[in-house]
Amino acid sequence: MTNDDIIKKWLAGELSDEEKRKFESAEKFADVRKLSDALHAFKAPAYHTEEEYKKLSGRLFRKGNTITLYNRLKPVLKIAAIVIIAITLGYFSYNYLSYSLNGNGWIAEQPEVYLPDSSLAILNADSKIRFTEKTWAHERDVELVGEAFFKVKKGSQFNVKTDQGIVTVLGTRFNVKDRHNFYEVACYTGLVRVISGHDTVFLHPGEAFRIVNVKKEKYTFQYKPEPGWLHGESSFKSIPLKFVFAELERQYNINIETKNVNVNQLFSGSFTNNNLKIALKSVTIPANLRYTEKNNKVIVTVEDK
Amino acid sequence: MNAIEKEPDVCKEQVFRQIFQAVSRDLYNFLYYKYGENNHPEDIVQAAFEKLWKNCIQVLPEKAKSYVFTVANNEMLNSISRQKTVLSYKQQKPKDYTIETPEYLMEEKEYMDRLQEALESLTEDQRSTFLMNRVEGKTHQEIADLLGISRKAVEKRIYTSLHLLREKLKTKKI
Repeated sequence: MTNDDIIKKWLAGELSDEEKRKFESAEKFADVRKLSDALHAFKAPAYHTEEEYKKLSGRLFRKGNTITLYNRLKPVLKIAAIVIIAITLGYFSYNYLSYSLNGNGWIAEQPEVYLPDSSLAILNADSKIRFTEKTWAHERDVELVGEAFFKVKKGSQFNVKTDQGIVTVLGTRFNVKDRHNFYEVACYTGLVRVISGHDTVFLHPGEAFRIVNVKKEKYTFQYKPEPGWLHGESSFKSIPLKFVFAELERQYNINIETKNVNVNQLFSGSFTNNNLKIALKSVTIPANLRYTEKNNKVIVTVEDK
Repeated sequence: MNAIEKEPDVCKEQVFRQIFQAVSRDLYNFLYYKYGENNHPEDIVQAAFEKLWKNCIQVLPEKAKSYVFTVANNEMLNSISRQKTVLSYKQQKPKDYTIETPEYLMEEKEYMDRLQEALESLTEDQRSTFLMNRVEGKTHQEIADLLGISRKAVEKRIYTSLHLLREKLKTKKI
């Protein structure tokens, strides 16, 4: 074994006992032994693990506490977020739904109302409807005051309830007009059933049913795909003048007063909903009447002879 | 798969503490022998473990040791204020069974100074490996594991270091 080999073995701590004794007594390794002993003076200063850890943890875990606090709050924050979202959604949907769901949830200001199944109701002047969204799936009920044209999607039974009657359909287009002492249902497509009191009437396209002054009547009208008022024209067929005047009042938001006029005189014709002067003329001239207009108040008189 | 999920988590204070207790002294000694006392090895240890804590999610417990060694070493190399390596030795206790002549003491002092100089002239890797073996009594395998190098490389560094030191101390004596 060479000296190098012995030194290597010594360094690796692999010397046998006998070799060790040799190494420790041999003159040629004296300097190695001296060196080895002397090296211990260079030992690193003592390292105090516990103290160092206290220093470290003091620094880290004060910050760490905020992390664990956050971690601890995490589930709470999640719930808080859900609650906030729920409240926000609830608030907005309540506002949105309340006008249709509430007991007094009449929809009046929109000319076009889409019902939950995307059936469409178009409202005429001074008209309102309401419906219940919750029960819509199995009960398509609409309450109506005034006049509206319906385009109903095919589906379950669709009812339009008014004071003077119930209209029942299964997907069709029809117009319902319910005014004071005046009730009229006109069918545009499909088949419409009208129940009023004890009477049940079926209407085919181009047929209409009305109750004017308690008098019930089924008649045909000049067929158009949609009622005239959708295009700004109010049409009448053999209607007492007072209902025509009432419609004028609604369309133009005016007040009509009649003097010595026979308001039960029947009127057939139409007037535009866009120009009051022309509308008044188209009603008064055929009926031989005169009118004066001032500040939304119209006075109709019999034409002097 | 479940076994990996159930591994102790470095982010748990308990586990972190255990790692610190197991590794910090070795790391400190390594840094001391490699870079000397002027470069504040205890501060580097603190910084390395602070980084381990911040990245605890990404470091598996069994990798934590080599992680802090690498981080500490990089920290040292990147440090702008890095100082020249200085090692110091403690004065040997006067042995009570001999009366030491001033000449002997002077020779002794001279020897230690030369040894210090020789140690400082070794490369950082040689010195740290050599002293961890000779002073701290770490086996070749332990050092190889700490530094992430082969046992053979450790053996070579230590032997070369010893050889260089012997040469330096011999020639100067003449």
